[in-house]
Amino acid sequence: MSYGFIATNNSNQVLISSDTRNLHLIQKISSPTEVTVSIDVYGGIRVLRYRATCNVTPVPFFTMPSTSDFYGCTRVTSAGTGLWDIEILKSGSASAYPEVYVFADPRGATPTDAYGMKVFKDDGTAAFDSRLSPLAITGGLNLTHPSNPKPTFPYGLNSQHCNSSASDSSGVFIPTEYNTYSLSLPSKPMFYYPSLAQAEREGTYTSSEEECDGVWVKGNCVGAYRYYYWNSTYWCFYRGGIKRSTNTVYAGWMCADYGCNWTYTRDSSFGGIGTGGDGGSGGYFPYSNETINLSAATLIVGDASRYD
Amino acid sequence: MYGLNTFKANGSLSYSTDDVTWNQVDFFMVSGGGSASYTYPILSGREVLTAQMLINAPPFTRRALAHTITVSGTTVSVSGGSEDAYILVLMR
Repeated sequence: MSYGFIATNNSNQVLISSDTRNLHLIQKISSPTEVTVSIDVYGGIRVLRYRATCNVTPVPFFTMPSTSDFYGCTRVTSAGTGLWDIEILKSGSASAYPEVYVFADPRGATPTDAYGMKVFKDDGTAAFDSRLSPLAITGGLNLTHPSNPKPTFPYGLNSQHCNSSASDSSGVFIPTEYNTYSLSLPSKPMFYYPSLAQAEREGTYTSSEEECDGVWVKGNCVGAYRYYYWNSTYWCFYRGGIKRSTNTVYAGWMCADYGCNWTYTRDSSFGGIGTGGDGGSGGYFPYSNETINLSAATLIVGDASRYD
Repeated sequence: MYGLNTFKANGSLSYSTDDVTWNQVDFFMVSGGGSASYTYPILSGREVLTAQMLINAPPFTRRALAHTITVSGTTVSVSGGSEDAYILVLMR
């Protein structure tokens, strides 16, 4: 840099530079604009949409009000000029929802204070503006999720027509695995964590039955014979999430969606004629018992109380 | 003993050289199936952090593969994903 402005800390890390842009608080959103999904089975599923106003692409930080639940920012989508929808997925059934702190470069908002310090890039746009609240962080790390959210399925489900209820099947799929990371956290931490890891786990349950209207002779039916076969595949789609406790962050999983599909086959014969069957679907997933996007996820932590 | 403090109009501290942060170098979108590669001389000798945020919900018709982001020197390359994503490049 032959000219411009740079400020560094004692670790020679850049704090302000006219070659980059600081992130600044653009907006604090205290509660979701809409709870788009609210399901209490499968460990609890809440999909929360926060509408943000920002002139540039936002960088959302969120709080985790419950230390029992996992959270993740699952997407950020433009909702029109200067409008953004930030989607937070959380597990659990607690009604306390995250607060979202929307950060962005200083072009994202127009400060109202009359004075301060402003640093410009060489194109004349703002790199830093003390009238907004620049982001300061307290820590961060790269974390990975366990490769399998639910290694074992502890009990069987109904094989016929997906007849097990969601409350029955959810017990099979509630994720159990997580990795643990020690990290010094402020009293009110906020997290930047884009959830990328995804997994699908499914369990197939089958049963069959034979009917003979005549008599069995040496294992063969003499008379009308029918063979029934049922197959139900229950599945759960997971996304990576994080949970916190005092100075600890857990990288685990949240159920994001679930379903079941089934087939039914009836083979009947009387003199060797006639077959039949049926099937139904609660949705199929494009992959089976697989985990994707398992590379290290970015986690940045800040002190939310500084921006309240 | 020395450094820089900036204050807001109400007298509260806005930012200080005692703080730690990540500065935004770039923020761009890469489409599903697309790729991008950019060189930022400012990254030379600095810590670099990248992050990826998906734009859409995972479809039910294909694997929603995230992009692979690699940092080699001052060049950030993105490729291999099936989904639209925002890529955030940070340094300090």
